[in-house]
Amino acid sequence: MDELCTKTAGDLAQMIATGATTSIEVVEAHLARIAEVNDHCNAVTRVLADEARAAAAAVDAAVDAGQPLGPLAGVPCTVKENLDLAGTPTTQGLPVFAELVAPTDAPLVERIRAAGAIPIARTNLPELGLRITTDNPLHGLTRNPWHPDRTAGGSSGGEGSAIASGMSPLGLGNDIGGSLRNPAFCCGIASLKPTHARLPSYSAFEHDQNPGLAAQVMRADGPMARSVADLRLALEVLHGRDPRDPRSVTAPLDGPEVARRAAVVRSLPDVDVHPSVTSGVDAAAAALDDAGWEVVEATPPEVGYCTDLWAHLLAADVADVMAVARTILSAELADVLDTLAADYSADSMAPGLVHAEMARLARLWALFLVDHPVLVMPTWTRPQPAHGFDLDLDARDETTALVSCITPPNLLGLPSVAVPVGVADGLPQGVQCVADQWRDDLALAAAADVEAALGTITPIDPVTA
Amino acid sequence: MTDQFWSRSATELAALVADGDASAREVVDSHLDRIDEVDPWLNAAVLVVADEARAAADAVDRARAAGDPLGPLAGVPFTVKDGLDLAGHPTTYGIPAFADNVAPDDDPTIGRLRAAGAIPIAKTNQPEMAMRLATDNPLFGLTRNPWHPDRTPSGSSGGGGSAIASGMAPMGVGTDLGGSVRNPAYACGIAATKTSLGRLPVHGTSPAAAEPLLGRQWMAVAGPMARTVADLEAMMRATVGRHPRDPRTVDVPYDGGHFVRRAAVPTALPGGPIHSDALEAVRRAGEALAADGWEVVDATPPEMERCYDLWGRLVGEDFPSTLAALGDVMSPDGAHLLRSSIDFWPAGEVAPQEVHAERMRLGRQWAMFLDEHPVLVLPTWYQPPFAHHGDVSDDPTVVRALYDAVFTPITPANMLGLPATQVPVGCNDDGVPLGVQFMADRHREDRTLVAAAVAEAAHPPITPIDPVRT
Repeated sequence: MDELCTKTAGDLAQMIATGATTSIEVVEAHLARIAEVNDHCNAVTRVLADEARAAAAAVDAAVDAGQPLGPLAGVPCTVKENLDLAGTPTTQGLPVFAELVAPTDAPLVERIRAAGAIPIARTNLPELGLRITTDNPLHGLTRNPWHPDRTAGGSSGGEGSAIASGMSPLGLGNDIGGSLRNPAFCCGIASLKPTHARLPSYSAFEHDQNPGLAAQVMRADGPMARSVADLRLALEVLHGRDPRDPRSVTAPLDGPEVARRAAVVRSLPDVDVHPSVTSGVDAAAAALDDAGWEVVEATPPEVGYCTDLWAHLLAADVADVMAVARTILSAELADVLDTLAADYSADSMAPGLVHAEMARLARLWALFLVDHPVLVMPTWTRPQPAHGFDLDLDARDETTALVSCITPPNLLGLPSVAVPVGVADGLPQGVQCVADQWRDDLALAAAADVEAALGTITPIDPVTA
Repeated sequence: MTDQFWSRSATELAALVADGDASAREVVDSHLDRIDEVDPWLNAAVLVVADEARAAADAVDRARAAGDPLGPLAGVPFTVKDGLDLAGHPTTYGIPAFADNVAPDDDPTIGRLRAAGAIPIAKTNQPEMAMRLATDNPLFGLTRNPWHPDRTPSGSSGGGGSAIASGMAPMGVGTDLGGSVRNPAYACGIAATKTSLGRLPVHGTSPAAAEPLLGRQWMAVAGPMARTVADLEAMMRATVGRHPRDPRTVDVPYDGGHFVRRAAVPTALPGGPIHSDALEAVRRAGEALAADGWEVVDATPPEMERCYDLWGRLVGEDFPSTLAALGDVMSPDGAHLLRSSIDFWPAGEVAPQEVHAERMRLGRQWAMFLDEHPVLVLPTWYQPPFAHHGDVSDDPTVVRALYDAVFTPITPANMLGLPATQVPVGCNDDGVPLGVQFMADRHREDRTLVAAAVAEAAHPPITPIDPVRT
């Protein structure tokens, strides 16, 4: 692997700005890395070589001319294939959308380009982003560079695999049920699910503009990278109001000083947490303790119930679109979604009660997070399962248990940083650092302290057998 | 005669107290005397906390004497809408069954005003569950409008409107799900801001408090009421920001910085009929902005009637369960708006999913409109203030006509979570207050107040007044 493919986005930006390297060298190194490892990983779905080389040349010319540069000038990045990137299809992993070319950039793509970053590739996802693994009838299975048979996670699994294997230092994805954090956990990288509405979301396609309630209140777009500092850097260029997303808010990135106190969740009332996950949480807790945080074992309110409410909200959206979606989805995924809609139907819990309970839990968690400004939790409660486990309808209780710590930040709009903490049995271990709404800064600060103590574990060469 | 402190604005009073030109006790006593003088007629204050207010005033005076720092509103009395918690006192919602529903804590916004040194002096009347466009209830009775004995102060924060317009307090806090701070401000000739979604925290802790359903979560907010625009700004600065008891809230700074002085002042508006007074009010506001150097554009915001209909759909989803929970303890008139809304917007007639998706679409349309036109001027209502009980009728066409004239311009701000500041712009030839509202993009209350201040400079405040009794 070229040394340039091991660098963080922030380091690359600095090296390019100071002339230690050039953008074209960096872009070529990453294009070469894609050529080297993507046949196995199948994380990248489309390479934007010509456009990337042209953009790199423009950055290098700007450097030579001494012009002012954006904070990510010349740095390659990748974009999940459900975010609009002008001139390329927003496939959402569906054969029917294979040629659905976006006329304009999504706001985040616009902003990351304005910061100087250079999109070099699109990345894979499951159909409509509605799985926690990454496989689809259009592009096929994405592999985890750590293990050929274990899932890369999803839905931003292409990003996870690409960033972990050195194809890209920085990517854009989104998260309605862990889709930024699941692949970060599985592939051993970092990601930020920002506070709801901190980053704007918009598609030029009408079918994506005005989603149902669950997507409106629970989905967040965000960055993925190998280092926490890169997440912060990306957040700074991505956040703030765009009128095309009426929910979006320009709020300060740094809040008032609070006690450096972290609540740590080692076990859950109704879910068995695997020992390798617990040992990862313990490692993170020890790292925070060493960094001067007061660490207390405390469980936030009604964790399991959050997943119930999350599923009810999501099921309402799913039930509403299935008549149309069924015609464009694979039969396997349609079965899973039909089952979700049936398991969590409006008959089993009235929507009004779901909404009122969401408000109650938001308050309880906000109060908990006043006492414990950071919450360290498992991301997944077990190590990475095999590809395709999430299609097994007989195992859906296990799948629900797997993500029981993932869903509360979606339901409640909280920021969460997934960060790796080590390797056990050849697979990455990770935790998430959660904070109150709008305190992305605290989640990032805690994750940075964890990372400083435990180090990063990527990029790696794919383990192919 | 002592200085009539009750006629001063909140910011004037705060300066007098801070400079030692008045004691907080004198200020509070002046307002308590004014309440004694005018409230027997107006019936705006349902609970006067005289002893607590005097004690708080004495504490401010002691703090000043000791050289302790004072809050920006130290010594300034304010009113609290009945439905908002004031610690140790009942939150009755205007319902006899809740007469003893004592709140253990302050609503967070009330707590913030106290922390700024302001002094709660009275709780003010509202219709049952704040569900009418007039202010009357079986527990406390009818609140009068100081401008005319037969005219309602409107509602639901009608007690606050009447009290502030008559000098019982320079400022107060109300709530607004469908105009409830702007309606009484319009009818009583004062100023009020319906804040953006997530600006001011609201949370009740009384035994009867219930978790909000989606319509209330998205649309119900607290808002300042006062006689001057400067006072609204002072209240905003003291109350904005994140509070964990209301997870909708966010720490967006009050000041949004420079913006282009361009205002949409539409001459063509959907719905109607629109009364000539409403058009005259908009004309006065546009003229004042133009004279101040603003670019005034004749532009109509997107799909106001669709916003109003969707507002009805959202409350229509909430109201059946509200009626189920409270129908037994509400009077027929009190439940009138609930029942008529359920009739006008039957739950499920438009699929909730469509309502949610449409809210997003319209939010985008309006945000883009307000990106191009940083301030929008609308009539507060399409019609003049109306008589007591004018909102209650067995004839649905009468009720619907009133709703359309009020809610067409009022509800887009609620539906979309946008700020809207109502200010008076003088009176008509018959002495009826005229009012307009200034709207802006989410969290940009500062823009609405900058524009409102321009209108206020051209058409100075018309209150406080002595109640007109005949």
